[in-house]
Amino acid sequence: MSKDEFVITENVSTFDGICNELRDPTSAIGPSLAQVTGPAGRGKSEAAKRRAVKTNDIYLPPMNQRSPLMLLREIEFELTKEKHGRIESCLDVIGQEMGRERRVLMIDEADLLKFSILEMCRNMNERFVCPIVFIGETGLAGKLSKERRMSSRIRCKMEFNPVSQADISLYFEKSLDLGLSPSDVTLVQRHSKGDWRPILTLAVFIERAMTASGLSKIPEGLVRQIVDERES
Amino acid sequence: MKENPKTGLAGKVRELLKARARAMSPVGICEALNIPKGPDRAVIWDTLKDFQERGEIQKTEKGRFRYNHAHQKAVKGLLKQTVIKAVYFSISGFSASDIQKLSGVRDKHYIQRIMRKLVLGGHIIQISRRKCAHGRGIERVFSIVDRAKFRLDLVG
Repeated sequence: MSKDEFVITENVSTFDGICNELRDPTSAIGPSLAQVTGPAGRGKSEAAKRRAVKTNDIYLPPMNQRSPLMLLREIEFELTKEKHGRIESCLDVIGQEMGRERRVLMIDEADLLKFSILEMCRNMNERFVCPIVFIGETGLAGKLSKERRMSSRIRCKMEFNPVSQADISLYFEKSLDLGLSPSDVTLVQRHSKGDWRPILTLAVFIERAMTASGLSKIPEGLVRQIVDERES
Repeated sequence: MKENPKTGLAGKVRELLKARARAMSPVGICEALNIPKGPDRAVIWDTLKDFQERGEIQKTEKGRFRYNHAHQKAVKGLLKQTVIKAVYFSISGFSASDIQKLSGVRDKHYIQRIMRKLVLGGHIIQISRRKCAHGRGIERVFSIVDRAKFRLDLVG
């Protein structure tokens, strides 16, 4: 039976490494902004949510229609459970809180935010040494590189790479206690096109087929059969 | 060592600052609590110093004090807090399996027990049901009713 376990992939480890570096006050070498990009389904949001659960860092869920005040109130609420009505008051509280404890702000779907809001985040980073990770799809990189004063302040850039064969093997081993043959791993990787979601769906179908037939090991040809059915 | 008698003053100051959205000056606190001028007011300074040291209040630039609501620990226990945080960040359309994956808590029954309590407390509601990943059985899918209230009441 499948175990609901979060698989620490290479992408997730790199993401955690970037956040740890930004959070560490001794690593303060200039601005502490980072950009994390990648197409949908690579696990960016899940990695950020998991980090927010495990640490004190702050994850801001997507909301494309945001005004600067809305974003600041959201950040302030996450930090202190308070919401002020004025930008200045919010900034004062954010500054004080960041002085007390340095926490990474992870802004999801930052590519959908107006550039003026991203600029405000840059200013916040400069004023309060408040580490910020912008998470978004590939368009985010272009948006941030629009202005030199923004792009030059991005300390770390990370691209969520397509799901690797090692990640697929690890996932099947950890979650389903199943070892996939190298040819099956290649097949699953080709079917997924680097995205996690098709792999999860495929794993569900494989497990259901095995449960129905009372099998404990994946028989030869089963993965191909399921992939063909899904693709047809 | 001589111990100070318990007067309940710290509790009164805490309640006052918690209730006020704005920061208060020490004199303002004394006046709000009807403490007369003189040596009695010196005790307030010690109380505020203690609160500030443990991070319960914050001093503003103007020398006023504001209650730090983040200091509150609404839910005791690290494991429970991890589950609560996982629910908070999942927002909507999550099941116990999703929370288990995100929180890393191995005991699914423990997660289900917490989620049952959250449903009874009106913090989350069931929005649908779906087939379990393994194909045997159905799992319930939930959503947070009021995310801000959830944060205020439960997330430490």
